[in-house]
Amino acid sequence: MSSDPVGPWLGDPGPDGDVVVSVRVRLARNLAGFPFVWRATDTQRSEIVRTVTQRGSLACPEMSWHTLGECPPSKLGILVERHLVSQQFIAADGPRCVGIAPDDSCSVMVNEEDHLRIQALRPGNRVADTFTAALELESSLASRFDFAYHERWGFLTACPTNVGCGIRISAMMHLPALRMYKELDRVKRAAKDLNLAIRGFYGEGSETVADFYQVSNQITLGVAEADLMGTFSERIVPRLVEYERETRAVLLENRRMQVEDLVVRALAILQCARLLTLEDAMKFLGRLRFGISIGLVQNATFGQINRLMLAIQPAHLAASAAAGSTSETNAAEVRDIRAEIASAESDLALRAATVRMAIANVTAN
Amino acid sequence: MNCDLCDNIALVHETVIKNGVNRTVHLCAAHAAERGYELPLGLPQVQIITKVETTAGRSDAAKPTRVCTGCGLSLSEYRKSGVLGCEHCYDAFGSFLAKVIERAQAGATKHSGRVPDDHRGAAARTARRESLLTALQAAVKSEQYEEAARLRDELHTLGPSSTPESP
Repeated sequence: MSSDPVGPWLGDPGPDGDVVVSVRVRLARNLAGFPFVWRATDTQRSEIVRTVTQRGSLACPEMSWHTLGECPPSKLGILVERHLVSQQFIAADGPRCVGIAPDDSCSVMVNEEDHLRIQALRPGNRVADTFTAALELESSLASRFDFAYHERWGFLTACPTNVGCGIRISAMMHLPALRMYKELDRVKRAAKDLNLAIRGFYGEGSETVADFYQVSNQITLGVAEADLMGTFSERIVPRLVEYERETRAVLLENRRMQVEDLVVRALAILQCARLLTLEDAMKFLGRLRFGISIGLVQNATFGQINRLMLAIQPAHLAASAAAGSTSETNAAEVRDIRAEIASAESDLALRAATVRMAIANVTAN
Repeated sequence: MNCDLCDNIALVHETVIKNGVNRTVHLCAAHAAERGYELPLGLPQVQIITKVETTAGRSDAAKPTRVCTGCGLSLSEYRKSGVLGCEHCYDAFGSFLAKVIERAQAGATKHSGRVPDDHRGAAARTARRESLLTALQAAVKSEQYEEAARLRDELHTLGPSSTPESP
């Protein structure tokens, strides 16, 4: 796992970075000869972990394998916040492990809902790249394992909603204008017709955070992986990006002053606040992203804001406090805060300090 | 003999003996599948199923509660949880699952994506077997018995289904 404080895959999100934060492609596979995870005994699950770790290490020597039971809670938190594992995986019990690429761009969860959940992540709108990376990882692993496969049903999964290709392609999108204009219900209805799911920031069952939404395919059977990817990359994501951008333009035309006021207030709070809750920080950083997209905010990039949004999550914040300051200029301030880290208030203070440090040079017209 | 519910050839003949009275029903592949009979993909087989019901209305032979022989999960347990127990459940609960999957997957009824290397030969054989079966049933229905015999012989050469081709 990368020791970089915010994960190197959060690089430049590219030309659609104003709307698309990241893309993830996940493949579900099960080993032939074992019951599915929930039906397997702990002995069987341990054997699955052992088999996957041994052969996975041969197939993908660059990956590091981590047994979940041996990870401290702080490390588990980092894994969830980087979207390398799901919250469901952390909360479960029984023998589990995860394989992680050195740059955090791929991971393999072992014994989540299926024996293997293989995934690739990329910043910005890079559906094809992410798709290729996930399939290449799956191919490397497939050469060492006998995946449960059926001539009619394809790759077999514990839940029939994943059977067939076992693929989930999802894009994390920032849709503040659509939300402000109450267009999201229409988007959700259209999504249902297109067999898409729209979920919150942390995936299944999570709340929406700061206008970030995960859009993903629901159908995994009767269509080829490449066709699913093509539809997602050439029709679904571009249409949503266009819709959000058009709505932002309308918002600016009709409510410019209100929008600018929201952005500059957000910047002012972020640059001055002494205490910041996660919810507030995410809300105001979302507005800052919006401000960048309308040319109101200078000396800030989408990539920088995306990295900051990760750095202020609880486990990342605690790790940065434990490791030392994130910037030399305010080392003394962070050391003082670190001394009081046990109290909730200092958590808010550390977050505020982290944000102040990161956006000290950002300005608004 | 034709299916009691349509014009297709009957492949399953179910005789129910209740209170000493026989009643036989003849079903084609599709109508038999709807009633929960699993017909193996392969040569058309005639299944004669006899159920003896007591005057109390219960079967002496236990009414088949479908259970997966791979993991022991019963169909009713699956229906409660929505999660399957192992790879063999897909065959064990075939006809019921097919409807569930079709609903969940917007009408899709079979996989159209990547095939693992060691299954590629088997997939082609299955496709050929299905097409021969359809042709055989049509030949029997139109009383082209010589053609039907030829198709049956070709089916024999394909061998039983779900055997992965050796590399």
